[in-house]
Parts: sequence; C-alpha cells; structure tokens
Amino acid sequence: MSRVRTRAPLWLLLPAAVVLGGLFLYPMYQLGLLSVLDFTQAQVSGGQPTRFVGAENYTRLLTDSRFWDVLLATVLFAAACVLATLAVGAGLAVLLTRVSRIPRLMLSLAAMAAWAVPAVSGSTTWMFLFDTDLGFVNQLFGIEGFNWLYDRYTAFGLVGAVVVWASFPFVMVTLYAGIEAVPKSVLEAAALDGAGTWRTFWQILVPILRPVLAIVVIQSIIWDFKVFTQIWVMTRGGGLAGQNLTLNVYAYQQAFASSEYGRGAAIGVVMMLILLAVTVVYLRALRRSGEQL
Amino acid sequence: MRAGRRVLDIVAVLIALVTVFPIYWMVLSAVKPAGEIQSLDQRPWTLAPSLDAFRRVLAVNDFGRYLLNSLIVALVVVAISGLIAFLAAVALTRFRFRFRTTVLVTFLIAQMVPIEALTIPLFFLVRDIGGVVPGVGLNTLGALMLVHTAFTLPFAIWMLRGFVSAIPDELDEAAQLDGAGRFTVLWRILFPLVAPGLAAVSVFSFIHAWNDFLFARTFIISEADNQTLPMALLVFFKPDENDWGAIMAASSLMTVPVLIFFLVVRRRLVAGLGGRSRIDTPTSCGTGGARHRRRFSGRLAHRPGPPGRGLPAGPVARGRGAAGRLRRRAVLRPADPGTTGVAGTVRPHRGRTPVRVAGCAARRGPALHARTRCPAIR
Amino acid sequence: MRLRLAAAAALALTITACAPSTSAPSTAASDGGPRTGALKVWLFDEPNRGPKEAVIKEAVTEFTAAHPDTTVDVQYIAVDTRSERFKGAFNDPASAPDVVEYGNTDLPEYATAGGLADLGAVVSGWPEGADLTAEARASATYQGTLLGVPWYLGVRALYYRTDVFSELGLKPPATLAELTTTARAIRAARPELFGVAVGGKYTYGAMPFVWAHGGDLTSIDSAQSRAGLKAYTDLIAEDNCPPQNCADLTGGKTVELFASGKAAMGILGNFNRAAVDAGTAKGKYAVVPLPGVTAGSIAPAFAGGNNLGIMRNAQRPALAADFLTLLAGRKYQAKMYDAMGNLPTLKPASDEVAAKDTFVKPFIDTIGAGTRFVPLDPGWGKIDASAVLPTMIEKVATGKAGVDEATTEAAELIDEALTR
Repeated sequence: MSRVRTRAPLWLLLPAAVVLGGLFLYPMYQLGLLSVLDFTQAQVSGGQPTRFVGAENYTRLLTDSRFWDVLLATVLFAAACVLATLAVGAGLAVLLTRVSRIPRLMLSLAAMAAWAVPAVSGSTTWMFLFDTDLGFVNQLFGIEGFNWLYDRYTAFGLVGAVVVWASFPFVMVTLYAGIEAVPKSVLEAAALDGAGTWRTFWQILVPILRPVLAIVVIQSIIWDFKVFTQIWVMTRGGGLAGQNLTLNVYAYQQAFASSEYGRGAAIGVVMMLILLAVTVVYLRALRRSGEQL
Repeated sequence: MRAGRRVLDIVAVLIALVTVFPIYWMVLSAVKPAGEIQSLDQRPWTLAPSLDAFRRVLAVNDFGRYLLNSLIVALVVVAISGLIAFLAAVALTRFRFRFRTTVLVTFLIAQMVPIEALTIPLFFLVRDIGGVVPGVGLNTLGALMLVHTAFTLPFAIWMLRGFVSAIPDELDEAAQLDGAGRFTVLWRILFPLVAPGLAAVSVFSFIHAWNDFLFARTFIISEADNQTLPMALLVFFKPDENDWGAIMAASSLMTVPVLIFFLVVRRRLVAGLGGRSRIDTPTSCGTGGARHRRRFSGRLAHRPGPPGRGLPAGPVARGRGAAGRLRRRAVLRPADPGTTGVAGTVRPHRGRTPVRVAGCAARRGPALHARTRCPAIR
Repeated sequence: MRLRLAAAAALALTITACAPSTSAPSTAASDGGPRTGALKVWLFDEPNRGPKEAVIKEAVTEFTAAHPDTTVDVQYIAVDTRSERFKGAFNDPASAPDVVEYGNTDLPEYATAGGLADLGAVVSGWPEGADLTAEARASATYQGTLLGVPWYLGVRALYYRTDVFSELGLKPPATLAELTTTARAIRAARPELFGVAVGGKYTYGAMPFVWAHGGDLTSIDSAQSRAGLKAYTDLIAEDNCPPQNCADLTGGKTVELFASGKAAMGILGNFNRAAVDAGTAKGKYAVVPLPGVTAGSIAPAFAGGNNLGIMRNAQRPALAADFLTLLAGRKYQAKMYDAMGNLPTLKPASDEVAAKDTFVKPFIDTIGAGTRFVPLDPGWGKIDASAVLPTMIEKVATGKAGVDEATTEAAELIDEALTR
C-alpha cells in the first residue's frame, strides 16, 4: 500500500462516505435550507405552509445587539478555557514524566475518572459542592452565603473550572503519551547541552509533539466554543439576567427551545462559519510551520 | 534531585486528590442519609451510609433494561464507528487523491455544527429510513446507533488518521513483498498496530453515545422499552427539587459504566495516544544533512538491540493482533537517531522467516514527499 | 487549499430549491377508530409518582373492566423532555399516543402545531362536562376550539411560619404593602431568616404582584405593571432577601428555603405541601391567600395546571374519549387530590375536597377570587424559553437596570414574540 493513485481509497472510504453523506451532509444541506425559511413546529407538522424569508433570519441575528455580546463572551470564555486546559494538561503531562510510579498512577487514574464523568453529572456535582449554603466549599472556607453564580466573573470562573476539569485529562494523557514516545536520547542530549526544563519543553517537546498538539488544540477550540451542558446546568440556563450566556445556550434559548428551527439553523450556520474561520487560521499557521494536514 | 522528586510526588498526589474529590463527593452524597445532605455542617465522610437514595433511583421501572439498552447502543457504536473510521483513516493516510484535504476539512466542519440544529432534518431522515429498513426507524435502538455512529465518525477518523500515519509505510510494503494481499495487510498488519489507537477513539465514541440525551428523546417517542438510561434518570436531575441524594445517586449510576469502560481500555489508551506522535529527529539517513522523519507506533519501551547486528538500543513497538495464521509481532527497532532511519521486523507467519523491514521517509519542504530506501541499514 | 476549503464549505451548504421534509397535516379518524386493543396514554412523570401511579392503575382496572378486549398502556414522560416527545408524536403519527396529559401553558404551541384533537363534542356529551367552570374551559380553549379537559389546577398562596409570627407578635399581612413591612420586620428581628422568600427566576411568584397592581404581561411597561414589578423586586434586597441569595432563585428554591426554615414566608403552591412537610417547617406553618393591593382583596394567582387531551393522530379516539372522561371525572379528580394534592377543576370535586381538608381553603379562595393566565399565544413558549421575564426581574434585582429600562426592554421582546 503506497501513496499511489488507485481505486483502493474509494472502497475504503465508502462506508464512511455512506454514513456521513447520509447522516451529515444531507442534514447539513437541510440546515442551510432551513436557515432561509420561516420554519417552526407549525410548519414541521404541516399546520402552516413553509415560507421563504431570504436572509431575514440572518439579518435579525446580526442586528441583535445581544448576539454580539454573547458572541464576545463566548469567544473570550472559550479562549480562556482552551488556554487553561492546555496549560493544565501540558503542565501535568510534564509532571507525570518526573514523578514516581505510585503518584503517577494515582494522578492518571484520577484524571481518567474525571474524564469519564458525564457532563451532566459532573456539572451537578460541582454545583452542589459550590452551593451557597449547603456547599462543602463554602463551609470549608467559612463563606456560607457566598453565591458563586451571582457575579458574572466568578460564575464564568466556576463553570470554566468545571470545563477544564473535564477536558484536561484528554490533553494530559495525550501529551504524556507523546512525551513518553520521545527517545530518551533526545532529552538526554538536550540536558547535556544545558537546556533546562522550560527550554526543553518549548524547544524540544513542543516541536516534536506539534501534530498531537494540533489535534488537541483544534478539538479543544471546537468543544469549548460549543460548551452547553456546564453552562446550562450550573447557571440554570445562562446565569443572572443572561450574564453567562454562551452562543450554544443562546441558540437553544432563542430558537430550539421554542422550535424556531429556521432561526436556529441560521445561528448554527454562523457558529459553524466562526469556528471554521478560527480553525482555518490555525491550520494555516500549522502549515507555515511545516506541518500538513 | 531526590528531594525535588519527592516534592513533585507530593504535588502530583495532591492534584490527584483534588481532581478526584468531586467524584468522591458525588458518591459520598449518594450514600449519606437525607439529614446529612441537607446539613449546614457538611462533613467529608459519613458514619451512617444508607442506600436509600440508590433505592429511590433504582425504583425506576425497568432500570436494568435501560442500562442494557444504553450499553448495547454505546458498544455497537464503538465497534462500528471504530471499524469504519479505521478504513477511512487508512484511505486518508496511505493514499493521496484529489479532495483529500477537502474531505478532511469537511470532517472538521461536521463537528462544528450545533447538534440541535440537525435534529429536525435527522428526525425525518430516520423516519423515512425506518419505512425502508425496519430496524433503524423511529423508536428503535438502531436509529440511535446509526446517528451516534455518524456523529462520532468525524472525530474518530481525525484521531485514527494520526495513528495510521504513525505506522511506517515500510511495514506494509515489506508485508506486500512477502506476498500478503491488500486485505491481509489491512487486517493483519495495520489493524493490530492501530488497536491501541482504536482504544483511545473508542473512549470518545463510548462517552458520546452514553451521555446522549438529545437523540434519545428525539427518536424514542413511544417505545418505552427502548428508552436509554440517561433518559430514565433525567427525572431525578432537578436541583430545584432539592433531592440531592437522588441526584447524586443518579449521577453515580451514570458514571460507573463509563468508569469501567475506561479501566478496561486504560492501558491501551495511554499506549494508543502515545503512538500517534510522529517524531522529528535529524538523521543522516539518505541525502546528508536533510531532515528526515521517522515514524513509529505502538507501545514504546526501551529494549537493547541485539548485539552484533549493528542495531543500537531504541524504542520497540509492539503490535498485538488477532490469533490465526498470521499471528505476528511487529517489532520495530529504530536505530540511533543520529545515524539511521527505521528498522524493524515483521513476523507475519508462524514458522516463516521474519521479514526485515528497513527504511526511512525523507521530507524536503511541506509539499514534496520523497521516499528513499535508507542506505544505512541492509 | 483555499479552493478546497471553498469546495468543502460549498459541499456543506449547498442550497437548492428542494424543500425540507415535513409531516402532512393529518385528519382525525372520523369513525372513532377501533374499540378494542391497546390504548396508549402519556402522563407526566414525577420524582415520587408512586401514589399517582396507584390511582391510575385503579382507573385502568375500572376502564378495562368496562371495555372488553382493551388494555391501557400508560407511559410516564419526563417533564423536561415533554417537548421533544410531543413534537415527535406530532411529526410521526405512528408514534402518537391516544390520551395525553399536558401543561396548560403548552397549549398554544401544541395547538398551532395542529397536534391536539377538538374535544368540544366529547365534553358536551359528557354529563360531568357541565361542571367545568367557564374559566377552566377558557384555559383549555385555543382560538375557539376546546383542546383539552382541565384535569387539575395548581395555584400559589402565602405560606407563613406560625411560630415566628406569634413570637414577634405579627399578623398575616392583609395587603401587599403590609407583606413588605412584615417581611422587613421579621428580617430585622431575626436576621438569620429571610422575611419572604422570593426569587429572580420565580416568574409565577412575581406575576401576582403585577396583576394585583392592575398590570399585565402584555403591557409589562405600563405604569401599573411597573408598580407591581417594583413591589416584587423591592423584596429582593438586604432587608428581606439579599440579592446574593435570592436574585437567581427559582420557585423550587424558595420552597426549599421555606421548608428548611430559612424563610418566614413563601409564595408556594398547594402542590408544595409535601415538600414543606418534609422539612423543618412541618407543623409550624399556615396558609393565607396572597393579599392584593387593598385590604381584604386577593392578588390574582396564576392558574397553572394540567389538561388531559386527545392527540389528533390518535388511533382510538373513541376509546380515548372514554378513558379521558373517566380520569377527568369527579371520582378520580378527588383521588388525585388525595394522592398528589392536585386541586380538582370540577366544582363538585373541589367542594368535596374543600369540605374534607381545610388546608385547601386558601387555595380555593384564591381561585374563587379570580385567577389569571399567561397569554394564550404560541409566542408565549418563546418568551418562556428565552427567559424574558426572569431576565427582567434579575436585571432590576441586581441593579443592572432600573424598573423602567428593564420593563421597556422586556415589553419589546414580548411584543415581538406575540405579534409574529
């Protein structure tokens, strides 16, 4: 099997193409279609005729000042979560390579346990831990009555912590495994040349792990930008006066919960385009540095 | 150095405890008697554990049935999406064809759409499919399997791509030289080597299928027997109703199967995720001074090379595969990074001569892929 | 690369003139469908539904005894997922049940989706149908068509702690203004207590204040509505229920506060009795109607409740009608009160219950004084889902906006949703 032009990739790709073509491309095409229609439950069940509204769903969305506020909050929140997840994950991955066996086993098992917890369960548990009166954390620090969700930033901070808690294990395990795969001789050579931990990390590990990092970064961006469950559960649907809304929750609130599929489709398309733009910029940067898809 | 290490050990243990604490709290709250949960004096232990909360949750009709449904869906999705993703990943890494990048980016785009936006088109699609194929229409577990497979595929393909490309092409080539057909190469050489990667991917697929509420409540309308576990437990997820004991018991019950799955695949997971990193090291293979890329995969361990063979110590990659005629152990012995490329041994047939594999991939610039036999190893 | 990306995007977003799938509008079976077989019934699931299930089992036994060769397949639907289940049943006739329980605020949405059958003929042919009050009928009528039979009501009244009141020498408030002064007096004397538990997300607790002042949801920026909203949000303050604790409370959380003894008063429903009795407030509370603006008046309460309806896609509408009238009849309404504390909608049943249990009196009085309802418009679902009212209350309660600003903003959103 070599990189030659044959028909082989066709039959290898066929199952994926059938499943994805049918269950992804077709619905995505429908998504684009719905976004230019007035399409609610009444239209779905045939109670009212479908109406073509052109760009109305989009103009309504783009002229909605709340949408821009939410978009800004989402971008900043997602960026913070991605950076925090990468920093924590990478830091702990390096830590894992430098500790004894038992602590390493404990940390990796703990991380996998956090990874395994379903988002609903995890969010609810953290919510209980940080409950104003009944929460263990408040009682531990003697700040009973302190409401973490009252202030916009503490609320985002708490939700962000849960997001990082749930997503750092993937980064940590992936990078740890990647670091372990680096030949010891390379690291030894670096040490002989007098490189410290910091320099070794940035100048040796990061370049070597770039392909892994690429996936980790892209996936983190996609996941954190679309964060829903944690916000929905912990801030009870967007926080005080909607101060903790993110785009996905906003889309749900504004469109899907009240079956306004046309409007929801428009939000979906806009979200997709934003994510696509971010990812393309990142992929280009990768290409410039010599990686390729 | 020793003291430093001990400090790091302590730090690691502390972080582990902090990480696992919410889970401990979840289980603890589930077994605390009602009075202690509502207490303004929470203690991180309980002296009177009670299973009341679990009893309340398990009183859900047909709990076992829902658990089984969820497990079946998740495991089938893991198997099918892993298999399809493997084939697609091979196509995307072992072959160059037009629109390869397009296909890849499409897989990324597919993950960017908010799923809620797709439910209505999918609803009608599934309804219509159900009219033709009875097992996968509305109200069936088949519908859930189908849709989850589709939703886990893009990520699975993206992940697996890395694993497959980390396996040296020379392995396939050597096996083909040895007379193995394309199918044999796929199943007997590549598949076992990618297995740890599949384990890593399966974790994501399992979690995705297991945690789903959206499709379960969209597609399973009237068939109570085909309900999934999260749906049945949803009635307890009401922080408003203040039954924290039941909420925590339901949470614990939802978490346990995923935890078990994690424990089962844990070893392969770490091995798998590690295998996907390709390693750039300057070598003197081929044209002097050019940067060369060595790729190896599998579980890596240091093992001294056989003396007198000219192969110095290096990581060993092991692929374990299915039993049968072609039971094999692919042993790669990358030579010293300073001198050579990849060397390895494939033993495809029991009792047959092991095939020696040697080669390295040279790369000059992002676009050009020149492959040269590595002259350093014979 | 650029070209390929464009191709990928185009692939994903191709838009042609092809229409999306929809369901064809269905028509009700005119002959009433088969009289035998399995009748499919959807009822709401509740965390402790044991007593409800027992009553339903009894009704099913009675029904199957009277209807040979029938079975009743009852499914309990989680309230959180009702929306998807109902939509699914509207869109896929084969999955549709026959009889359904649904929340009366969901009526307009289901009605515009064309999912519910007209019950006009069923109710007029049902002897007990005449006992339905005009108000109850109106709450199940959409654009002139009766689409459900009100099964039970839930209304809210003022719970207060008798021990705290007697200790401080207080009387239950007779007006909303007195409610505020009483609440502040309690908080001043017992700083560990909240005077009255109120919450920013507790819309149905806030609306009586607006209605009592003469305002309404459809004119939330009128002077009367603003006065009512101000009266409510003034309670979310340090001297009663500090914003830190109360600004984001839901109705359920105020129940928790009252039940656990952290609040001296609470605006709770008749359906919250069991929760309160499970807490430390048990045996130390009494209930009066929530007072209005003038002494002796009662603030209009929100008439929440559930209806029983028949799906338009039902396969056995005639059998469904028989089961529905059995379940909605006096006998089982009274049994449902005993089991779940649900207030009957039929006059004879509610009289029977009131005679039996003095606890219901303030709630019956509240209903008697006139209840109000949310706008019967599919736009309401949108207003509710996008949290227009909680956002408005929370903005005022946290000082992010003044009453005028917040109500103006909310009024725009409400108008937009209702006129679409």
